[in-house]
This record gives sequence, C-alpha cells and structure tokens, in this order.
Amino acid sequence: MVKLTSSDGESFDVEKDVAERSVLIKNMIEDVGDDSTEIPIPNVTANVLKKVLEWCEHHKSDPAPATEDDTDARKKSTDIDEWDQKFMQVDQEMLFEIILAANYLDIKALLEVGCKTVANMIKGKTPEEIRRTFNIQNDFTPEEEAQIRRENEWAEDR
Amino acid sequence: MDSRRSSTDPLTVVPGEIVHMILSYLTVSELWDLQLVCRGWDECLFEFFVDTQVRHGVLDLRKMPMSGWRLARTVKAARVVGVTMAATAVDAYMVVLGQGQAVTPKLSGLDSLRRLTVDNRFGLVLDDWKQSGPTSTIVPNQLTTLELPLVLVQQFYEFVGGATSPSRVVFANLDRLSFTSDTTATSAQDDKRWADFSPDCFKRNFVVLPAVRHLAIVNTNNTRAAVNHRALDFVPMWMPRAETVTCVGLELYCRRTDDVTRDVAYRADFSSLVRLSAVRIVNCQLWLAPRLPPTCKILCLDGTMVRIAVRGRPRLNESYDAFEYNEPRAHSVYDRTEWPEPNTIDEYAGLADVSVGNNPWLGRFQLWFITGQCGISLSRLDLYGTPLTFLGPPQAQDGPEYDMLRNLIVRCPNLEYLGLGRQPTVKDRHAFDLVRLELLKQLCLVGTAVAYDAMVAVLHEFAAAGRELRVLYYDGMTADEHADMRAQFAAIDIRQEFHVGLYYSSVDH
Repeated sequence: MVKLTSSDGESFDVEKDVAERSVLIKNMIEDVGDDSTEIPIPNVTANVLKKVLEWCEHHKSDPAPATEDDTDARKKSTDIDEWDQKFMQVDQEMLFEIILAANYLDIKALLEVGCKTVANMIKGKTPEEIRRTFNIQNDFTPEEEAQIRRENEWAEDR
Repeated sequence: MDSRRSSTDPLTVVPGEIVHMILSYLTVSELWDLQLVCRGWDECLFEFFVDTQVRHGVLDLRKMPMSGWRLARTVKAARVVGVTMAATAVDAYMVVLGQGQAVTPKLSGLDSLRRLTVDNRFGLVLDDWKQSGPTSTIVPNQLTTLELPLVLVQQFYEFVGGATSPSRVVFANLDRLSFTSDTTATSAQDDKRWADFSPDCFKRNFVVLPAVRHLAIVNTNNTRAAVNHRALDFVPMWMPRAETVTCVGLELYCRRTDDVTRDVAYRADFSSLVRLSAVRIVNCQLWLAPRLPPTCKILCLDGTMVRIAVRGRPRLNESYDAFEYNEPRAHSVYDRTEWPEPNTIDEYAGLADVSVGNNPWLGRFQLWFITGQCGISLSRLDLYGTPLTFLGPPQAQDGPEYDMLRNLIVRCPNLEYLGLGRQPTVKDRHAFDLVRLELLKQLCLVGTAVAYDAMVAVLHEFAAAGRELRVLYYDGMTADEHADMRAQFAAIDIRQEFHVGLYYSSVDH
C-alpha cells in the first residue's frame, strides 16, 4: 500500500500497482525506495485525486502503454470505451481538473481519454455551437469574421 | 451533466501542449470551424499549425488551412527547411517562395530552405527569382532537394544557366534533383517541352550542378512522356557527380526525323560519370542498354523495352518481337567477337545487381549481353515476370547449348539471389539445375511450373550439397504442404508471397 496526500491534506491509501499507473508516483516510489512513506501530491485536490484514483483502480490491470508505433493509429480515433465515457460524465471544471491532474501525474492513457472527451465536445459543431459549449465570447467583428472566411477560401475544398 | 453551468474555455484552464493534444484528435475541417470561434482560438490554431506542421521544419501546404498572411508569419517564426505544395495552396505558396506582392508581409531570407517540392506554378516563382537576380535572398540557395515538374525543366535550366557565372554557382548544394510528372499538362505538352529543350539550350548556357548526386526523372502519368534522348544526354554534362540515375515511364529512343533518316540508334552514355553506382530505367523504352562506367554496380531495367543491337543496325518501326531479325542461325555459336562494339564489351563487368523484371520484350540476346559481361561479379539477378521463352528442351550432346538457365548458371556462378518468379516455363528440371549455384542464398520460384514434390527433392539436393539457401519464395503448394516443408527445412525461410519491386505495380495490370 502507498499513502498519497492531496494538496488539501487528505490522505489516500492505495494499492501500489494502482498508484503506479502514474509514472510520477512510480518514479517517486522508486526514488524513495520505501513504500511506507507518504507521498505528497501538491497539485491535485482531494476530490480530483479521488476521481483519478478511481480511474487507476479500474485500469490497474491494463496492458502496458502502447509503443510509439501505435500512437498514430490511436490518434485518428476518438473512440472512448464505455466505462471511460461514463467516468468522464462530469462537469467541465472537473473534466479539465482531471486532464491537468493526469498531465501532472503523467498518466498517459487518462490524459488521452480526457483530450478525446474534449475533442468530442468540439467535433461536429459550428463555431457558434462551440462558443456556447465552452461559454466563449465571440470577439471578432463581423468584418473580421468575413475576412477570415474570405482569406481562407483557397483551401475550402479541404 | 450540466455543462452549461460550469462551462469553461479550455484555453483558459489547460496549458498549450494539452490544447494541442486535443486539437490533434480533430480533422482539418473541424479545426477550420474552430478558427472562427474567437481570437484566442484563432491564435491558438496558428500556434498549433506551427507546432505540428513546422516542427521538423517542413511545411506541407496540402494540410494547412491557413491563409497567406498567417503562413508568412509561420514561416518567419519557424525557419522552414522544406516546403511541399499542392495546387490549392498557391497563395500561401507564393507568399513563402515569391515576393508576396499580393499579401503584405514580404518574405526574405530563404536561406534555411533545404527541401522544396513544387508543381507547375513554380514557373511563376522562377520568373520572380530571375527578376530579382541570383544573389537575392528570395532564392533559396541552400537547397539540397528539389522536386519539380517535368515541364519546367527548360525554364529551370535557363534560370540556373542565367544565374551562374564563373565565380558563382546557384544551387551549389543541390544533392537530389527530381523531375516529376506534370499534374496538368498532357503528354503533348511534355513532348513540346522536350523538343524545345534542345542542344541550343546548352549552347547558350553551359550549366553544371556540381553537387547533384541523385537524379530522378519520373513520369507516373499513364502516358509515356515522349522525352527524347536529350534527357539522358544531359546528365553527364549537367551533373558530373551523379551517383544514381532513375528514369520512370519515358521514351528514350530517337524520335527526331533527322535521326530516323540517318538511322542512328541512340544509346544513353553514362560512362563519363565516374561516381555512378546505380542506374534504374523503369517502364521506359530504350533502344540500347545504357553505357555504364565500371563503378556502376546496380542496373535495373524493369519493364523497360530494350532493343539491344546484336549485330547490324536496328531497324526502325520493327515490332517488339522482331528480334529474330538479328538472330544467328540455330547452329551457330556465339562468341564475343560477334558483338558490334568489341571495345566496350566489358562495360558491364562491374555489375553486381541486375534486375530486368516484368520485361516481356527481353530477348535471349539481351540477357546474354548483360549476364555475359557481368559474369562472375553478378550476385543478384531478378527476372521476375520476364518469360525466358528460350529455356528450351535439353539439348542433344552435340547440339549447341540453348538452355537459357544453364547458360546463365555457367556464366554467373556467383549468384546469391536469383528471381525466376512468374515464369511458367520454368519446370522441375530447371529447379534441379539451380543446385549448381554454390552461393545461392535466396531463390524466387513463385508462379513457376515447379511441382511441390520436385521442390522438396530440390531442397534435399541443396541440403546434400551443403548449400546455404536461406530464403525461398515458392507458392506451388497447399497450406499443409507449406507447413510440412517448413518442418522439413527449418533453416530455410519459406515464403509464399513475393513482393515485387517498387515500380512493378504499374506494369502488372
């Protein structure tokens, strides 16, 4: 068992192989060489860490991350498996917190799932729909917008 | 889930590299829509393209949904070393390469540009360059790789010629020059270009591209470009340090009327290229096999019709199968003195790797010509899909040896690879003959008439003779037999599929 402490001071007892889904934690455990010490996770709050650990628990027996050769093939697909889809049904704030935590903790697979989730929120939407989804203000003037469309016409047959 | 309540612009919360990761899951058209969301996303996309497209210094305008002025910024920021353009990207491309008059930012300093791939419109840029002069910073003088359409050859030559002076050579570092199919012009236009590209062009300017080591002239259009022999005439003069020459899909025999009336057989002459190591003339038409320097190790004539003159002069307008014209009578014996050019008889002596695959026009004498000269130096010979119709029956004791394969084995005893794929005339007894090749490591008998039982017997003979055969391509068996054979000959990698060379595909169908 490994003891992890979130930024807001809450401790989590986690099985070693679950915690080691995170490359950061894995390296820390190796550096310390002693499983019993507490490992502080200063950048992640308790509610996010809990979520991340839930994901690690479910994926603890996943095969090792794919080699570089596969990454291109995987990149093309934004398919997410069902459990992960449910897992990612959180509000946007939490979603981005999870992505940031996955990035910090160096959990590549979780980071990918997070990015795919965001990509899927963008996919198939018009600019206006994207603005609504992410609550973005359109700061282009109509003239500018028209200009961008016009300038880019040469590539319209993309 | 109520995303509306807590919706957040990803740009404001996650770092740039994660945004780029998200963007990498989107298609180009989806990215396009994102560009119109707001200024922040527009900027972000700009960075994303710089990051992904120009990360290795290579700009591929075919994938770049970006307008001219944005691209100019990108190029400035990134110090591009290579550009690939597509027909649609002409604005952006002009910004990168030309003066960019139409668009505000003026670009200079293309010194970092190393690779350039362009289409027909490059002609405009060449004009631009010509006007600015060769020392202008808009001429990318550090180019090492240039790929341009066949139709621009003369314009390119004249640009280089006009810009070169005794003290100054343009494109002094150009290492790899490729002329590719034109994307729009018909073969008739190609024809005209090449007809125009006459020796007069040389008389005006004598151009040397001293660093070019690799020249390719590739016509992948369905039509053969009617490029007359001048294309290859120029190589020795223009590129004295050429190491590889590759021609695909060209007609390289004489077409000009005066040549015809004088009945001169054209022969490409590379013998002055002292560094030449490989010549590949694929899917072309040649009158005579090229003349090569002794340094040349690789000759590939896949799919190329070669009318090697045997004795006498070739006649024009003869049909493909008219080789009989020069054939000696059945009982005559060949010797070297019968060849028309006794002085150059050994010019192929250095060849180690010869490929004359997919060559239904290959006559017995052509093969004799080549292999007879390479002899003991030849270690690879590929005759895939070239029907050796003269394999012939076993000869009576006193008759001349007409069995092509036996002749070949006697002449080229050091073969390590022999490809006889797709030759239905190769039968069991031919396979047994191969045991005589002491160094044979790889053998291709895909698509031959060699029966399974005979193949097994042959492999036993190979084993008994102590031959170290490593790879066998053979498909005359069922899956079970394949497994059996593998079990029996564990040391040999037995494959049922043979992948033919790069350019075969266009001949195959």
